[in-house]
Amino acid sequence: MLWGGGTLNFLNFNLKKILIIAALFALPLISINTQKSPVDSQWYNQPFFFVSSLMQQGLFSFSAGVRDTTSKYLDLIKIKNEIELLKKQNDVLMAKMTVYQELEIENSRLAKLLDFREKSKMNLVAAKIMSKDIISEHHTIQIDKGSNDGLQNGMAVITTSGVVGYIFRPQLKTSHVLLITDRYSVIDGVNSRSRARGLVEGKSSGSCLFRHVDKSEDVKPGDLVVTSGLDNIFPKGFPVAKVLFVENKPYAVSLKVELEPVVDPNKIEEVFVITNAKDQDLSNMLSLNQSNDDQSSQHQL
Amino acid sequence: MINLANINFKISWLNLFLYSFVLLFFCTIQTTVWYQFFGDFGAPNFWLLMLTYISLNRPRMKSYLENYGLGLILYAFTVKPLGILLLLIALLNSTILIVKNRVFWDDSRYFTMCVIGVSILKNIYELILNWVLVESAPFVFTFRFSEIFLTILIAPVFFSLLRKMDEISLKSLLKETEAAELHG
Repeated sequence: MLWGGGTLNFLNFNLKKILIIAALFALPLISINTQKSPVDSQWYNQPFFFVSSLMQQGLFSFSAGVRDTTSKYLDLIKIKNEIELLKKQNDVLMAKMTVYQELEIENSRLAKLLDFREKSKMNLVAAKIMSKDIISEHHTIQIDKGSNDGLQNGMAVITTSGVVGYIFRPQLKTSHVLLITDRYSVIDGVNSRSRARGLVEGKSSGSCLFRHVDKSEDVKPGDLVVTSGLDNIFPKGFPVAKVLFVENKPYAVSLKVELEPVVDPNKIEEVFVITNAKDQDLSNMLSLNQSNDDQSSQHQL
Repeated sequence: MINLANINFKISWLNLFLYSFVLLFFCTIQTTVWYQFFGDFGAPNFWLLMLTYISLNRPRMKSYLENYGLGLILYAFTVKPLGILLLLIALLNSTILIVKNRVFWDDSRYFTMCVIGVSILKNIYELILNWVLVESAPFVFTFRFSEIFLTILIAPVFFSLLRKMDEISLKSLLKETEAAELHG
């Protein structure tokens, strides 16, 4: 009974449990046996692979996106900083370039002025233009040289191109200049071609009148009116204005001649004041200059 | 608001100094600074604004005298003969006084309206004076128009500035006048 009972007790095992344990052990063994190569995948792995790959793909996309966006953002900041730096550099270079261009223009202008000053025998005082007349219908300018620099009432003001006006009300350090276009301005002039004489009087900002020219005189549009030198203010033969049109009225005493000043006062920055205009004749010098200019322009062509 | 024109002022040297300084300052701006930046483009007439303000806010005789003083300062900036300049100023001042005696209220809108009228009248008077006394000059309409437009545009700002100057420099005189009125 005891043996039998003991035996029976020994043999009394749970078959179901044993089967489950055997199956559990069998699965890896079977899979080891059925797998031909470590790189092979089996049907039961497929769903896991699929899900894992999906998840990996998703997460990778997300992280890659974040990393990409972050790097792009960082790049943008970097680029923005670089652009700002380049812009600043560009601004500095542009400003320098403008200054160089301005200097180049000023240099050539001053060289021209210096050349003119050296060639002429006149005493010239160079001055810069400061301001204009407060009443718009009058045409005057103010320059930065005055009686301290030897300037006096009535002295001629010119540029290398032609007559600008003359000094009035000189102060210690500044002077007013009455432009030839002002109504109160009068200059003795002569037609460089026909030698017809008259008075150049101001009319408006862009024009003058050539008055008291005899009706018999030969004046044509395009003629150059130069200073006669008789007023002892301007040197003889200096350009004043060009003839715009001529009107010969049947019952008028003189010709009606409208002129366009050679120098535009709105476009000049420096002028010369002549302190000794008496007995100066610039006709030859100007004609020489003109021929030189013509030759140089022909060379350029 | 106190009407400055009805108060019989004594001479305030501080006020005169301030006005002279401001006129000189703005005339320099108009002739030099504006010219350097905008060239020949029409500038606002600051002196015309001061003339209008003085005419509106001073007793009759004082307005003439102060405006003639303004003319003397202005003469330093122009080739216009002093006589013609003072005549122009007298004509403008008289016109403003005639209008002021009929319609007046003391604020910047009225001042601006007066500036509109004075800016236009100035050109008309100049044309007449040139025609009668000197010689007619060509009338550049666009240039004059830009001048008038800019002058009107800054009128309200200029009114505030001049009023502030009056408040600072005429404070003691205003108090004296008010006290005198109260005590009969």
